[in-house]
Amino acid sequence: MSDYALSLLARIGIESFVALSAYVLLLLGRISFGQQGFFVIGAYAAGIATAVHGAPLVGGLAAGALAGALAGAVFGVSMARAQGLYFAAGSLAFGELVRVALLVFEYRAAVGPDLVGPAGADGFRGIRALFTSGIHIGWYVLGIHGLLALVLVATVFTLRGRWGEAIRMIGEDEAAAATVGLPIRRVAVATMALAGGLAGLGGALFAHYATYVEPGHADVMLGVHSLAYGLLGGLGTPLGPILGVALDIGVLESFRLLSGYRMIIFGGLVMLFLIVRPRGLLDEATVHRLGRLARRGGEGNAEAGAGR
Amino acid sequence: MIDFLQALLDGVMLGATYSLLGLGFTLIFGVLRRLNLAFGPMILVGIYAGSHLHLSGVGPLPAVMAVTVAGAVLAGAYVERCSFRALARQAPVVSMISSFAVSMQLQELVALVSSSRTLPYPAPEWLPAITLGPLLLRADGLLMWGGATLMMLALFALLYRTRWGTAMRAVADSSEAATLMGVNVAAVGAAAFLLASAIGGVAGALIATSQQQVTPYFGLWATVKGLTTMLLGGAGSLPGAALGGLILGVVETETLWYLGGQWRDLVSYALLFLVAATAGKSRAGWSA
Amino acid sequence: MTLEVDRLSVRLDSTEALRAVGLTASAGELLGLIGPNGAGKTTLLNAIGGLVPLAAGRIAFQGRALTGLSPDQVARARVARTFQSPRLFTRMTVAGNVRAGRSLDPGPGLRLVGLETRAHELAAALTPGEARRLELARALAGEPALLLLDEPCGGLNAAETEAMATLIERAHGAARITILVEHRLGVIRRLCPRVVVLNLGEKIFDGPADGLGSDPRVIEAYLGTSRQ
Repeated sequence: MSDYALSLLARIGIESFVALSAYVLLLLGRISFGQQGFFVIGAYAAGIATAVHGAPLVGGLAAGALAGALAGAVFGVSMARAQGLYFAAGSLAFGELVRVALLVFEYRAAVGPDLVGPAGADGFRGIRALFTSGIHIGWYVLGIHGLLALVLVATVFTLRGRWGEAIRMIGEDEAAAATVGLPIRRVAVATMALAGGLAGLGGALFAHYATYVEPGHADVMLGVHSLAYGLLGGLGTPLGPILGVALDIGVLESFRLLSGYRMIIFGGLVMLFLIVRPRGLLDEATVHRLGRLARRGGEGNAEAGAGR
Repeated sequence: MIDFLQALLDGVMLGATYSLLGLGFTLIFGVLRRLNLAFGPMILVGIYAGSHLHLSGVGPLPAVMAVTVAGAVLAGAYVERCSFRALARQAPVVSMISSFAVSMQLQELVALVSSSRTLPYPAPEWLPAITLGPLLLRADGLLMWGGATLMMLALFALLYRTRWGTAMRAVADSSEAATLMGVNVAAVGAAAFLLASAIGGVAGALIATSQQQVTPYFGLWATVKGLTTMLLGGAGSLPGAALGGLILGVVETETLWYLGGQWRDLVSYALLFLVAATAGKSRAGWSA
Repeated sequence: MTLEVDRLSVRLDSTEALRAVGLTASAGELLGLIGPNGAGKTTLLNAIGGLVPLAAGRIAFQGRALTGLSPDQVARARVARTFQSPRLFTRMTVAGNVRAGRSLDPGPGLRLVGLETRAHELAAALTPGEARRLELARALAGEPALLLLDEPCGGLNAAETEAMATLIERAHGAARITILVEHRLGVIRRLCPRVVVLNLGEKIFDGPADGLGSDPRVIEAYLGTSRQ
């Protein structure tokens, strides 16, 4: 497989985590332009764990996810009273706040002969746990997608359960959800922690893939794209945002003809979708219909089997 | 003490342009109840258009500024059509997301046409600086403050002395009541949007001429400044936006002087985060 | 078990939507709440439910203060409501709406309102009349002690209105206080022994339903709105 194709696959895998992160918040009815903040927090935490403190790769990934989740919870608590437009503004501020804070953040320790760790605006180099462990990059990318598949399955089950129902009810009509007794604030904080953890895990995976992370990676464009993936791919299922990522990076990015105008096309697509299909391709109604088709298909097969 | 006062003066002059940005935001928020996140990129189109005119050798400064405003209004018309009028029946957040998507289009358009380069923007040659004892009022600062103040006065005259302005205030107060009084809410909304675009264009022109250059980063920067200013003054309040701009300008300039550029940005974003987190449910319309 | 509303005042957008409104209700009462448009009926329900802040006054239910509680805290105090226009979770199924995240069996609630055959359809597929019944089922599913109904017959034809009134009658019980906001005075007369009348944010009548027709303030308030 060519290096370019591999890098595309890696990007699709990594950005899917951030897309899932924004998706979960979209379901909750919150527009977040700041998930890139949790992404980079996870990346830095993972890098510090492995490169500065010698943790194994898995430990780094866990640290990244945890750091993202914690940051998400803190963010959720501080944003508890913000709704709609205010939440969006606060999330935008948060993402930029992380970026600017990392510009002055230094945490270096001696590891062998070198000084390793975040060095403010110069970024954080030398996150080499992947390579020192001898894992081939191709297997790592496969591992990213394997982990993504696991996380997807877990997310699907979580969203089908009570928590997921609560998220969707609050997302559709928060006042009505409160009227039925749903603990809005508790669900919101927990969901933001989940979202932060997802983005943080993506960041941790990225940090070890790229071996280098810097404040500039807390890019608003990453946050906005992650949001848009769910809107395009569909809000009816966690596969929706993944579909959005695949469409953007797989199609728009890889066709050289289009890539010069990628933002114009992508922005135009989002704008059009919001007018004609605001819940995306795989919206709730479509997923519901597909579900009933699948169930009827199953029944049909059972009947055919019984009748033989 | 003198340093503090000097930075205060500089902050007031810079803050006047922030006030304009905040007013543009507040106009749209008050009349349409929506956030226009393409505000900065709309202005970006205008300032780059002005810059290109200047580069082509044609324009004296007034022409360049006029083209800047025209460019911002044109871009604004596009955003209004695609993200606001087309989504008028949906929840306010949908327009907000759409405006951000359209802003990505505008940013790329500017990047393609100018190869993402920083371009020069003309400055006036004929403006003096004023000294007040040990304090200096820089020429470009005076221009920003003077131009912004004039624009604000014009805006308030428009809102309180013309029929369109009265209609806008009526819709901002209660669109239902305004409809009952026969006001064409959609048309007023579009007009408010274009007015906000023009104000943004003026702000952009003033900032560009003060810095004598335009960069692609202006887009998001201006959006954030306008948003912060509006929320600082209490979302939906026009006098609040004017005041919020001054506060933001002074806070930034003082922080810049005493702590440096990175702390200035940190404080600025922290301020936005704080007001967004603590703002209660905003009242519809404009207060005062 | 009593509901005490004491000198309640609510400001909305610089107008006084409610001015020193007070009432008490005890278990088993099916209380009618009527008044011309804009009288403040929905605002009163919103205030009890914690959806709008109070400018003055207090609300207590079963000895507990409801003042200052968040809407979900009020709901957990066993207060339930329906809305003037049904606010269903359209992207969930009918059964899902009745359950609304709680651990209860939606079956009985669905059977009560006659929607058990539609259990697995999306709530968006319901007609307006069915939507109102679903909203009622959702409110009843938590076995509330205080039930607030905001114009449950709005938009229904005569037959549907009759059916809804019967439902409300069946759902009400000795262990519950029901407050019914309605414009259809026929429904009020059928169901409510006692009626409270609001006009322009103030309470102008609180007494037996048959006293409505002869009360001068009520007649004056309704002058110009001819509804029977």
